[in-house]
Amino acid sequence: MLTKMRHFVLQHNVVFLLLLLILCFGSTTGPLFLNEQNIHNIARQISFDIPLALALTIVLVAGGIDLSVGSVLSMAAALTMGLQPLGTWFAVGVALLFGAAVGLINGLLVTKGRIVPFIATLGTMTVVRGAMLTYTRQQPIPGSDPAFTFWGAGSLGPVPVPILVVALLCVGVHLLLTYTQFGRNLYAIGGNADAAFLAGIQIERNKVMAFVLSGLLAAVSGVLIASRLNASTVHIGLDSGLWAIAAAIIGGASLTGGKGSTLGAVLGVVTLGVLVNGMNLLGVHTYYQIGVRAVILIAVVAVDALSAANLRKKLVMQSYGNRE
Amino acid sequence: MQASNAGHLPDAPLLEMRSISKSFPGVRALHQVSLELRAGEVRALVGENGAGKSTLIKILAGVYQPTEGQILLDGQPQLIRDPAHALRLGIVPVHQEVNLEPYLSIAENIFIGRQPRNRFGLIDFGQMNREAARWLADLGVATDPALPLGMCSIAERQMVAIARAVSLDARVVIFDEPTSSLTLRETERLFSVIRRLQAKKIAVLYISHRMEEIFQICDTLTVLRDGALVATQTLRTVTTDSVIRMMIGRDLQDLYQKQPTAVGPPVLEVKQLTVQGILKDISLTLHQGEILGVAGLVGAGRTELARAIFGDLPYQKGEIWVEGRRIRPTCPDDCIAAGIGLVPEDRKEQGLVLPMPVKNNISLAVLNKLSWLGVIRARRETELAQDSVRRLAIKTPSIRQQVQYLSGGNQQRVVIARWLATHPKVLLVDEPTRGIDVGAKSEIYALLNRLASQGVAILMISSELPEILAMSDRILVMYQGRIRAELPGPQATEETILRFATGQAV
Repeated sequence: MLTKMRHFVLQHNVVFLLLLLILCFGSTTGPLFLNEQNIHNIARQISFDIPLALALTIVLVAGGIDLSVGSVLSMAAALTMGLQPLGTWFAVGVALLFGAAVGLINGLLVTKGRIVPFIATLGTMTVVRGAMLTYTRQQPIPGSDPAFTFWGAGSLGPVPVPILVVALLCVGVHLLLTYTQFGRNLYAIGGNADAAFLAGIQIERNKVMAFVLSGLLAAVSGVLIASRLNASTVHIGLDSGLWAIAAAIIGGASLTGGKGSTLGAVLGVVTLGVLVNGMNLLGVHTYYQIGVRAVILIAVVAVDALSAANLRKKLVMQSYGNRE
Repeated sequence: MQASNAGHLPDAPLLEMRSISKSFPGVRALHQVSLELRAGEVRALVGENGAGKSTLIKILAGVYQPTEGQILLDGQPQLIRDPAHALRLGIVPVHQEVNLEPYLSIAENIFIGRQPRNRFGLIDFGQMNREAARWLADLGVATDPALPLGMCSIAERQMVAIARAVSLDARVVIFDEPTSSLTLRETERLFSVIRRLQAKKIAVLYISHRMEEIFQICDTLTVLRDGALVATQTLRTVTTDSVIRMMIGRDLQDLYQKQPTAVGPPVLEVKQLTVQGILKDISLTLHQGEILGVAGLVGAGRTELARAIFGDLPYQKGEIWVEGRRIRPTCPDDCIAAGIGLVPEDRKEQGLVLPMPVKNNISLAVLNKLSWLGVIRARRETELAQDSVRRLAIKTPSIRQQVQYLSGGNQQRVVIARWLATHPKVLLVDEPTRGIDVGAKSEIYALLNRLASQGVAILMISSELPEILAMSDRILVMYQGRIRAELPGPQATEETILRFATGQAV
């Protein structure tokens, strides 16, 4: 058990950062930070970011990247609100299908089109954003079904509903990545695509599936946000994509593929969420906050790279020693 | 003492390493190793993987600092601070591709960081190309120095690296496995260049696993084992057997232990397989329990043959039959289903998913069989991994250890374990012992023999002729994409194989 915990902490340096942040904010803002209401706020806020971080983790594990999630989120929110008069669940269905369809297009561009994921999803990101602005005529769309706000703003007892939904998503993605053949295939493809192919794994099919899941999760996030705001606005999702990438990487995923976990993604989102919340409480100006978040991202990745290099050196030495 | 043996060498050593020790936390990589290099001497440095060769080179090249000991250059003690300092002292390691820029020209690579300037302070390309051509001509190379390096073969890149070393006033040149990707002819050319370096009174440290080469090009020999110096001798006084004995510290008459196996019915039949520009009309039959060796030079199409059979290289013409059923593979998955496995040439690039644990690497090709409705049955996977680790004696602290931290021999066993889990009828193995130390090699041979005796048909591609000769029931020799000869294993010799492999005999 202890070794398991040590292993976990070694793999997730972000835990230290998180504890440090909580300690800092806890001691400087006191009761403002560590009270039930504020923790509720943090939880509710991050529950909308987690699906995106999960999406990015899946794609990063498979050795790709998906920049389009933010745009997909905003378009899904717009569709959820805009089509609500035709039926609440019809609208949600269309929004989710839309997300999956963008994911499918991303996947096909990457596999059949042989376009690197960065460029392919940069393209769809822009196209979807344009489509959203056209569809909404750059106006917010209000909701027409008050009952629908239950999913984003309601509570079951003390627990906000979106947290339950997101918890279910986390469990699902965790099981998918850890216990299924599909998840294993993604780690193999991201870790070494040639070796995976020669071991009989269908590279293209699995990659396409990863992008479809990513689009779908982004759409889920959009639906939840629409429900929370009971409206869609053109501003949501603007920088979500980049922050989801940051969260996934802070949580241990790697731009070179083959690494990442659900728990890591959640920890990454929580860390960023605590950071933003704490800075808000301390009255740090939004513009400075952007800089601080960027510094944290770079620092975490740097620490990760350094400690990975050290760990590797240590293990190489060990295996060398064993041979003697 | 060896100075008196090699009489033509001057007495004062150019470079001297005195009682060098290097410790890393918890590990003693080198212990009291001394080595001398004289001007114009070609010294072989041999030892198993992990014997300390790389550490020694890295100390010379300024990458590591020795924990104890002294390095003298021209009798003067020197602290080699870093790689740049080593270069300034004239100690130049020649790596194959690192340190070269593929998008720059040959001349730019030779003069990188010190390009000749014209009077406006801009690079004088004309002069640079002329000077580069002169350095190359000095080595007997006539390649146009204006060509981008990326268009050059590996052998030519090596020549560029050597030309750069010589133009930097190198006094000691270190070659680390320089011939591992060279053809025979390119190797010959490298040797003639080394002789030119020798004539320029440059000292050469030559690291190689290939005994024939060492005996061909080197004057003296230093053997390391477990970080300690075992022997310093002139090559005239030793034999291949005695060198190998010194390297591994024990006799190795059972390095190859081919047992005659009963050869069964044909399992794999390939008919007139043709891949445009690579393979021409390849036909072969592989029987149950047989080891069929495939010899040939680099570029003869051996690896491509394995890839075509394994569905990794589309072919235009021909048929592949497994146990009397024709297969039309479009991807490796089809072949795995038909009972074929491939242990690829480069286990790190094509064999293993390095960041994944041993367990996941072993189960990678049989996830279908281990899963139920797409969910991997964890217990069966763990059992498979534990069973494989036990049966193949894979040395790993745990089945959850990432495979990148295993030694080469153990990594190769993980790849083989993956294919054994598929219960293959046919196993294609491409350079099964490349980069593996001698002791681990014999265990890989024993494993292949055991598989053959259990009825697996094995197609073994290898560049090491002793390995092909000792292991094969039959030998196919390829030359320029064709099978030039089929030789019965017991009668074949290195000479006959080489005659066919170089196209001299038809």
